[in-house]
Amino acid sequence: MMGISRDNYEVWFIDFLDGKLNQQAREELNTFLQANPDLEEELNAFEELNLEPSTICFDAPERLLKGESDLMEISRPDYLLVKQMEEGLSDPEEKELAVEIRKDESLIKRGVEFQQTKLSNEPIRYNRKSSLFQKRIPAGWHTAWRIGAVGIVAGFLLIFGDAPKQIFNSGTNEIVMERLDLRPVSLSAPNIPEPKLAKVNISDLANGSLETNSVNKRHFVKAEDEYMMESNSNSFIQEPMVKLSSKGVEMDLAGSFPNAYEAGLRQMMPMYLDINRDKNRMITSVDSPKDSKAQINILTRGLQLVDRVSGDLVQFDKLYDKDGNFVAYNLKAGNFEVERKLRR
Amino acid sequence: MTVGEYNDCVQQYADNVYRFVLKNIRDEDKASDIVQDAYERMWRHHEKVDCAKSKSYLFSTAYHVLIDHTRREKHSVRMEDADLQEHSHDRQYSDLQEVLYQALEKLPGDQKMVVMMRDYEGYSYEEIGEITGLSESQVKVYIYRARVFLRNYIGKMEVVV
Repeated sequence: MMGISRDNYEVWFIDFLDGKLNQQAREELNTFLQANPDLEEELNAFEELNLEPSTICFDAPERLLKGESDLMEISRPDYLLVKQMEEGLSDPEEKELAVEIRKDESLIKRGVEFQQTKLSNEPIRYNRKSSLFQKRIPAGWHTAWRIGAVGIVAGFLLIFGDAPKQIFNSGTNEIVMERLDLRPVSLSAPNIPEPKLAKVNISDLANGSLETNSVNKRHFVKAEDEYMMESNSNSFIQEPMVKLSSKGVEMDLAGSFPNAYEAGLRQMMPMYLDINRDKNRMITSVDSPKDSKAQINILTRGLQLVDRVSGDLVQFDKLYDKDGNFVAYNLKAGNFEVERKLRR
Repeated sequence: MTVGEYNDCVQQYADNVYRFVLKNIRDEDKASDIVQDAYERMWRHHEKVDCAKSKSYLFSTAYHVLIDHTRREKHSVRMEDADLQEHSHDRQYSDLQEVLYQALEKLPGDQKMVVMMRDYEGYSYEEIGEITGLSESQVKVYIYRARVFLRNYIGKMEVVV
């Protein structure tokens, strides 16, 4: 530090007042003050400027505190009145409210008004309550229901015969309709024993001695070229084939021996005629005179009645086989169409 | 929840839920539909619903339906925006409840519903919070603000006390 002089004495004074001068510096300062008494008076004036700490404090810090009323942005008296109604007040809050009421007596009326804001129950009834209830379903109810349903169906089948059973089972037991057997033109002797298979040679036919073979199950017809016709039916009724008299041939041909074409025609024509004769029966007919009484039951009659009553809306057609058995039916109603074959 | 417990819920709470909904939307058909929906939903989940909380479940369902409905309709008025001056006139109302329900209609939907749950059903703030999904303090704020609004409305109407 530089030596004290009248140019820098203020720095020395401040350091002295702050207690930063050492012993040697204090002695130098005393020497300087003795030489300059005016500056000594100035230093004494500095020492009198010492500030003492005061005990001043903020007298109402509670005013800065925030409470629930501030959070709710409602006045403190209103908060206390609502809280008194809603939850009840603590002791300090009761005292605070009492102080507020002493300041403003209108708070008593406000308190009453707050009490009136409480909603009172109204006797409102929900009239559709019955629609909300759920039925109690005891355990095993579903099983009992199924058993009952099966019993009803079984009873229905027992009472009303086989036709419903046929309908219900037709999906699993379908009956394939067989092609009707070929039957030659019956010219005479209707009760000829039925051959299983007949083999006919055109040469025999030409000779007029047609033979049948009842052992085999196949039926052959042969001409110069062999033609074979086959039938698997056991109901084939074989009748003795008789040579057709052909006056034209006899008139036009010199000899009695027919050519291959005529021989074949003679053999095939009866069959052709037979097929055409039984065509309708083979395909089955709509109306058969041989209705089986067992199969005309309540169900079919009911369907027929519906068919008649409904006009063109519902079509119910019964199909019969060659023996007149009710074997199938067609049911058509609008876009709904069912074709079912019945078990024989 | 068993069938019997469910039916007990119907017997005990159907009127309460209906009243709560009806007071909010003022439409009997819609209120009835909401009640039906609430009960159907509870029945669909009846195996998971605790019987002790069935009432809260119903009110919670109804509350959220009402909130959606309120937002769609947008007929609610924010309390801060409500001008009490326009509701003030010289008429003397003898039926305080009538005035009170008028004031209730002016409240925002969420505040109206929490006040109804509080007064009609006696739910605590915590229970209302569970039903509505709001915090307990938020429920309290809504109720206090609603009370102040209702009182001011009644005061403006110069109701004869």
